[in-house]
Amino acid sequence: MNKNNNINKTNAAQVQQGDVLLNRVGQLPADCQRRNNRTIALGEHTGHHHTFDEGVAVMDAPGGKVYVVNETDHPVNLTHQEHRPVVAAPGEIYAFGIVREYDYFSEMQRSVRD
Amino acid sequence: MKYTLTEKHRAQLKPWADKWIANAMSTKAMDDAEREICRQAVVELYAAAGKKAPRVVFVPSPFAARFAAGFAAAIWKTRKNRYKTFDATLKATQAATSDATSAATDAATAAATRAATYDATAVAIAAATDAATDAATDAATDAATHAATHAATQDATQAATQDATSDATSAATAAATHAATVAATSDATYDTTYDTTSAATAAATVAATAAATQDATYDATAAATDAVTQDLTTREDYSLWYVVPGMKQIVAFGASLAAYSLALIFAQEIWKSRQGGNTWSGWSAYLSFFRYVAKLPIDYSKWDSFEKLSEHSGIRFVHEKFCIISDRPKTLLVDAQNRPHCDTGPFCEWRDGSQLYALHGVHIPAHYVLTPAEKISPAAIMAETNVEIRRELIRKVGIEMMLSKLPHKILDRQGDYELLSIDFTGLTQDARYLKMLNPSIGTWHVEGVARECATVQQAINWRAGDMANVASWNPEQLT
Repeated sequence: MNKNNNINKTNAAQVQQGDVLLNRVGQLPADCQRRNNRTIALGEHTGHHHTFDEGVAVMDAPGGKVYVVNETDHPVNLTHQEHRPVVAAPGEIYAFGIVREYDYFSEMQRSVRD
Repeated sequence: MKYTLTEKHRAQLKPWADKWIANAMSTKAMDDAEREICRQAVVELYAAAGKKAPRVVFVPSPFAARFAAGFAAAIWKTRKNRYKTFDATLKATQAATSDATSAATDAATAAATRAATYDATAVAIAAATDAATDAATDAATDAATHAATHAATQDATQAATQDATSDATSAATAAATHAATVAATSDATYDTTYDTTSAATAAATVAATAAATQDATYDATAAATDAVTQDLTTREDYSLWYVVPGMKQIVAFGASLAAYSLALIFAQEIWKSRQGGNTWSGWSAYLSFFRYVAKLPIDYSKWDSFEKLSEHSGIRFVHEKFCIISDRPKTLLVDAQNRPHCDTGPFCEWRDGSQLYALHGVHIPAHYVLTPAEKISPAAIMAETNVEIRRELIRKVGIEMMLSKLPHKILDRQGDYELLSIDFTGLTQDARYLKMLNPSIGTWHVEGVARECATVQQAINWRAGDMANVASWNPEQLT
């Protein structure tokens, strides 16, 4: 996965910024609720955050899944204090996810905490 | 009038930003002259908000300020049964200063001015000072004091029954908190037992004061305290990223107050009445640029006190009845990117001994920072549940040094990735981890994956979870 880090591929189907994953999907599920901010992940011990520039809507779908929609006709950056920006392509919809890891000391898997 | 940034003024942006960055990063102790300036400035600040002058109390750290402000607010509320006083004061003072500055600026310069100067000044000054100061001081301090008071609140029940009579050690923070609380609440109308308590008694142990003021209910529980409790309450806690000497005594003091049911809750909630002092230098840099460099003809009289407090003091808590002002820290260290950082001790320390710990901007439990790299257990690092903390510990110890102490095999390689099988003797065997290089900042991460992962690609797919349920996870954009 590290062999490709060309952020100019604005039509990318799979996008990753640190622990944040975006996977392009065809359509938004029904009955999504729009959030009133564009931050999709927060760092507990750094104060850092993954936040879209203006133009992207973050949507909560029934069942707990989260989607992001670029509602503009141009690429919109997802920014973070440490990672370089990645972009959501114009008009595209992405499923949002967080990388998971396995904790051998508790023998359980969980989403990565940062 | 319309203001346009001139070349002469543009040349002053960097020096102006540097001046205020230095102000934000200052570790100078407040002296008597500065305290007198601040006393007068607080009077003017409150007057601008249409409020009577409060009593002004100085403390050595934001921790002492926050606890004392919370306790004092609880006492005042209990005494007067007045609701939301600190919230109202905050809104009033913020509205007054905001009105006095932004309204005046807007009126004088209009949107065109703001548009013309924002890029040049906000980016050059506010962004620069934010990076240098907010990360290092304001956000960190706020998070730490919030965490500390949150923890204290959670412990309140236990504290009320166990810690109230702990044998205090006259820790500076505890003593300062007590002194500030008393100073912020005692006056002629004070009809509780605190009438007899004065600032002069603050130097005495917290336990003695608490015992003298606690009501009959707590007298009964006081007798139950034993030596074990005393030992626990006097030990500092280095498992957190902040260290507050006398924390247990502070909690005990709060729990011993007649207003105990509100004291710790208010200490948690009082952050809403915080104003940043020198840690909000970014705003002062921006607004004072127009006052002193651009020299816009605006009435600065209501802004002046806010600016003075930015220059001469640290964080403060404003309340209708009191204003508690913290000193600056005695140590404040950052890395080359202005992130809070010190790999041998606290990156920030106040003169009462309260401390904050961080490595490259990540809040780190104090004991990890204070322990030499060669003495940190690799297994402990791998057991750390927060990946940012784990990353910084790996950076401190060194990935090769850490793995050299852990029996392991490399199962697969792909680019900067390695799939490892690690044996944790006595704990678990064949624990599979993906070792990878952060492409943005060049640091190493080691994160666990399921045992069924036999290749790097399988591990990457597993980490992506259901994102990779259709195809392999192989992002075209990765940073």
